Amino acid sequence: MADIIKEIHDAVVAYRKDAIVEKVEKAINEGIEARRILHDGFIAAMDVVGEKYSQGDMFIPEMLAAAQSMKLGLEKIKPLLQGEVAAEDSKGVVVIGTVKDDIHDIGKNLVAMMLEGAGFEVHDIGIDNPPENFVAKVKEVNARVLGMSALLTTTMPNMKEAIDVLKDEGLYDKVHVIVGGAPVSQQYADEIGAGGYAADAVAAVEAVKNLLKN
Amino acid sequence: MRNIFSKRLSVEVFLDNLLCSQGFKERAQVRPEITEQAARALDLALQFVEPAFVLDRFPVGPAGENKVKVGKIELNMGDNACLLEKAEEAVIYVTTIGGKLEKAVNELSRRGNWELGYWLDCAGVLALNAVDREVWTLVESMAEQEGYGVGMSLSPGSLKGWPVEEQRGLCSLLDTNRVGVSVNASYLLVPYKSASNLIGMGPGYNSARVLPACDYCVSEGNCWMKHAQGGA
Repeated sequence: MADIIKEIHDAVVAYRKDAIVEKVEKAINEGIEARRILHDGFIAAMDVVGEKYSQGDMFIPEMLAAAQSMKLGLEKIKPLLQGEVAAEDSKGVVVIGTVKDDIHDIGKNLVAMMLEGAGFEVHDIGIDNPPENFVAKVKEVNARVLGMSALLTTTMPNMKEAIDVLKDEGLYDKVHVIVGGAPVSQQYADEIGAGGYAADAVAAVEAVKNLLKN
Repeated sequence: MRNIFSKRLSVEVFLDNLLCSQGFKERAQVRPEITEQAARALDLALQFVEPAFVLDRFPVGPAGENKVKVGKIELNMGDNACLLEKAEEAVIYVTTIGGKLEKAVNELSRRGNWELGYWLDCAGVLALNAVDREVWTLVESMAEQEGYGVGMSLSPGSLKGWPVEEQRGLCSLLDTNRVGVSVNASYLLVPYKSASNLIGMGPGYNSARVLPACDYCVSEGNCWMKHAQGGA
């Protein structure tokens, strides 16, 4: 790994928002490809962040700070990536949001951030979404994955409603649905016809990767 | 007594509590940029918080298996009904910090500032908890004046076996509109940073202090509110 790539990697893990842009600019000026900065710098760093969080060595605010650092760097390479990225680099398009009546978006934000860090194109439609919002965005961006989050037993049924609308629109077989949130379980995911379930943000990335392998 | 309500509560949320709630036990060990975000969120929170509560007291009695009659309504509290066996009265209250903080959190999230949004959201939860604790003090002084003890603070949806659907019945006993709170179609209080609670009172209770119902909570003690108070 080039020194500057390692510096970028370490700056993300250590959430050095003050230093990341400068390091990314330096890497670009050294002629390093944006896709390499993305893969060996950002994505590798967010893998480490996820691991540290899973092991209790990092807390949620630190994980968010690392993600914000990555985002700052990502903004710098985005214009370059558009010309550089090959089809195989794009891991897939994901639409994500919380369901109707659910405004608890911390878990959803973490998942969005980890997916972005893992190289997915994430479209976050925010909170309190009726089924039609999910479906419209899936159509608009041609998503391969739909992620829905609910933190409450009373809002969980709204996940099934969204899946029903996907079926009505003929999209159910074309989109992988993954669900999560405190009261949600694998059993519930199976019951409502969601192909994937994840208990936390790190598991969500693995689950989405697995879904897309199928 | 009919529906005491107040919008003159103070809210004290301390930086150490906020940091502690997220696992940072000692401020000296926290990186300055983390502390800075938490402190910024705290400043914002204190601008947006509009604390208020509405409270009333009702006679309590058994109403069949797992049910308790409170005033004119029956609450299906599951196994928790036994927690009110000693109660002669129940204090029902709803607390809120209003909706401005939530809007600010959503706006920060929308703009991609998840970090500050997260801290602000956490500060809001602690602020609501601080409002709850002020109401507990009021309930304790009410009980003391009458030679009563008090039970734990019980809340539908938070307590194992007392579903959130019971929120509507509980809140129907109060004029929650006076503090701008309503129950939505999913039985959630709106604004979301609001809480409903029931506390039993009577001569049979030994405790003079209202305590959280951690042993009966769906979080099973694994919540960051406990961390915020310096717990494990």
